[in-house]
This record gives sequence, structure tokens and C-alpha cells, in this order.
Amino acid sequence: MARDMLTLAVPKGRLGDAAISRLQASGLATEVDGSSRKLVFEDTKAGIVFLFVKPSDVITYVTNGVADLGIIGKDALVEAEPDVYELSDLGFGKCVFAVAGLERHHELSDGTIRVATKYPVAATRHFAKKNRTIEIIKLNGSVELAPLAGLADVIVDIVETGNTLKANGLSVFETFMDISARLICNPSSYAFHRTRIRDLEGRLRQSEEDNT
Amino acid sequence: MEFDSLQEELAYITRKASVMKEISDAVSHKGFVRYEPGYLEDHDAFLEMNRRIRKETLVRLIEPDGTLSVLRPDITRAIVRRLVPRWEDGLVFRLHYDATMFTRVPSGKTREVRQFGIEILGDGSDAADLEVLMAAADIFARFSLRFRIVIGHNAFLRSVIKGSGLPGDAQRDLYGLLMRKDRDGLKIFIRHHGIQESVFGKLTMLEGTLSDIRGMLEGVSDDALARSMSSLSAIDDAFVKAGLEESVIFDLGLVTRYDHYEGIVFKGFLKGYPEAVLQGGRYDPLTRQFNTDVPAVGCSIDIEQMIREVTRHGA
Repeated sequence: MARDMLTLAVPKGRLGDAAISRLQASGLATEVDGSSRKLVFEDTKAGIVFLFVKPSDVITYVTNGVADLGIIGKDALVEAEPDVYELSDLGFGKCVFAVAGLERHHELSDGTIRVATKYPVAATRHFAKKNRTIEIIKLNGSVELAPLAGLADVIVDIVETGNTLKANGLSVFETFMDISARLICNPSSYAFHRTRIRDLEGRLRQSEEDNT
Repeated sequence: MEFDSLQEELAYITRKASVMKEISDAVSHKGFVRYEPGYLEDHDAFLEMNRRIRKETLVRLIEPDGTLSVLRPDITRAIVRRLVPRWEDGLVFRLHYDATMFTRVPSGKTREVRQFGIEILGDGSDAADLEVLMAAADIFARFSLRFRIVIGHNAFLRSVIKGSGLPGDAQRDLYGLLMRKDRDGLKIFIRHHGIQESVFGKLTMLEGTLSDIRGMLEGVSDDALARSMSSLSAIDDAFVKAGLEESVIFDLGLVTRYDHYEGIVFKGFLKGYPEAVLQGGRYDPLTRQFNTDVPAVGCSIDIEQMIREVTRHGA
């Protein structure tokens, strides 16, 4: 890898596919084949190396300086609170944090609310603002099951269409904080490559405007 | 730091000692006296004075009488607490230190960070600001490290925020947005609080050369802005004269985790290392917290990290 290449960590999976579309709409990463199992692509013309990593590892790559930049959902940033710049709201991967549960159960609870979630930081902050005492039950997946199985009173999760909730008989009680994909950057890379990074950001913004 | 063999580790220790000696000699030569700061801070007083710091990052100790102390997370405050309350008019003191500070990382472990720092107490001039900045730049330059120093002056930012009439918690949110350079988040914030977008909307982008910044704020006339720009101009001139202008970026929206800077504020980065290794600025408000008005400016360097970069890339 040439010294001057910028490195961008792109999450694999659904968010990554949307990211590749945006990059390609901006005339970048045109060689990248999303269906390939290759994890490193170089766009020598633009001077950018793309690293395809697990979504939960994007922040790690950027904060350790292995990647200058990354694309990741705001939900992950809220949880990890990394020291990175959030240069741009890329406008895709849109969803929202929601509190959901079985009908009415939520309002009945007067004391400590048991909250099952993959997002303890977001959940804790939200209920603290409402002065509610909660007990966090940290889960790694299938959070919808928790109220059904009696593990929790409510869940806090990111919701896009709400279909999974509906299919499991859960309703959304309230939503907070809009989520979408962000372009992040570590402060050191920014100090050394500010102009090029702002150019890249501008190209990504422009292609969003062209599409809307 | 991990080593393959003891021999390698001893070679590193030897190199480190010589780097430390060179730095220490260089600043001593410039008149900075070596100083040993204290280890403990009163917990409540510390939090009261550092509202932007995350509590969970502090290493707390419970004293036998039930009071809480904090293992110093910051050296500057320890120095000020010791010296400033007894300050006498007309005194000027240049000091340097090489000391360990303590923070708790998210895993719950205590992390020790060795800091090297310099401070000038009792001198409120632009020349003192410049002296500290140049000493820091000289430390990086003398080991041929590739570095960038981002320099701001927060008189303008403070005046803009004060003029907005935002309540305290909204100000905290705003500082968070600026710290993350979150331009889109800032737009939403402006809409939500119904504030004037003209200057506020640009706060994440007031960076680059001084003429870039002037261009962005064309038509804005403000005493605080004039103060910020004149202070930065003097710094710009000095860096140009030293042939180091490539290593400097100005940023009027620069904010730090500590509340106590007023005036010049800066952060420095080394090529290839993601976090700031240099932090500093003018912190007169910190001395005012001790009921006396002693102008003070200084900076600290994450010295372990810098030495790692010296052994890897430097000369």
C-alpha cells in the first residue's frame, strides 16, 4: 500500500452495500465488487484503499489509525463514544431508536423498568432524561423475544420498518434519536489529510444531492 | 509496550532515557525549571471545575474518613493548586514536569499515561503563548517527527455561545458537536434551538489557513473575533519564520475536554498515531478558581507515545 493512500473502513453487509452504491455514485470504488470475498480494494486513481470489515469493527479500525476514515451507523457511535470526527451524515441506513414492548405493560410499571437492549448507553441516557429508574439487560440479538419471554418489560432497539416488532406482537411506545450512516475520521488523519478528506466528503454529499 | 526479548526492552529503555534527557535539557536551557506535582485531587472540587469530563474515566480513592479523592487525571491542575493560591504580583515562573497521570478506560482498568509538560505562570502575554507553542514544536522537530499542530483561540467561540443565550446543557451538547466536527448534527441543533444560522452554522468549518478562516467569516465584525485573529496572526508569523507553516492548521472551532482554557488552545498529532499527543492552551480561568488571577499557559505531551514514534520513524 502506497504511503499516501487514504484508507476507508467500509462495513460488510446491508449498510456496506448502501455505502458502496454511494461511493460508486460519486465515481469512487468503481472496481469494487460487493459480492466478492476480497477484503481489500484499491482505487489508485482516487488514492483510496477500501477495507471491508465487520460493522462492529469499523470504529476499532478508525480509532487505532489503521483506517483514516470509516462508514458506520450513528447507533454504533452513540454506544462506543469514540474520539472521532463525524464529518457527514450520509443519509442512508436510516432508522430510529425505539422503546417497544407488549401493549400497556410499559405504562403500568411504576418502579424499575427492566430494559433489554443491544444499546445500553443509548437506553440508559434516554431513561435518565425521563428520570426513570431502569435495569439494563444486555442482549446480543433477537431482542424482541425478551418481553415475550418475560425477561424484560420493554426493549430499546433500532427500528426501520417495525415489521419485526409487529410480527412479534410488540408495539413502539416512543422513538428517540434518528440514526443513519456517518462518515467518520480519526483526528490525526484529519490533521494530516484535511483537504483530501474534505474533498471526499464533498463528493459523497454531492452525489446524495444529485440523487434526491 | 511488548518486546520480543529483554535485550530489546533494555535497548528501548536506554533510548527512552536519552530522548528524555535531550528534551529535559532543551527546555531547561530555555529557562523551564523541573517541578514535581502532587498525586491526589479532591473528587468533588475536581468535578465541579471540570464539567465536561466523563466521571467514569476518573480513578477514585476512598479515604478512611469517607471522602473521595481522584488520582491526578491532569497534571496542570495539580500544579496550579499547589502554587497559585500563594502567588505574589510580578512573579513569573517557567516549569517543566515529567509525571504519570491516571485514567480509567472503558474496560474498567486503570491506565497510566506519562506526560511531559511545560507551563508559564504569571505571564499573560501573546509572547508567552508563542513560547510554549514553539517549545512544543521544537521537541517534535528535533527528533524529525512529522507533526501537525491544530491551533485555535476560543475568545470568538465563547462570545458566539454567550450571545446565543443557550442554557448550560444545550451548551454542553454544542461542545460535543464541535468536538466531533458534526456539521449535520449542528444544523439540527440550530433548528431545534431556533438560533441564527449565519455564524453558528460555520462553527465546524472555521479551519485551515488564517485567510481561509477570514474568507469564511467575511462581513462578521466582532471584538472577540478580532482578538482571536490578532493572536493567531502573531503565531502564524512565527511559524512561517521558523519554516514550520506546513505543520500548522488553525481552527476557531477547536474545543477540548477541559473547560479551563480561555484564549489560545491547541492539539498536536504525529503521523501514523491516531490520538493527539500534544494538548495545551491558556488556562487563566483555572487559576481564577483559586480566587486569584494568575495568567498561565502550558502544554503536555504524551511522552511514551512520542518516544515510540521516535524509535519507529524519528531520528
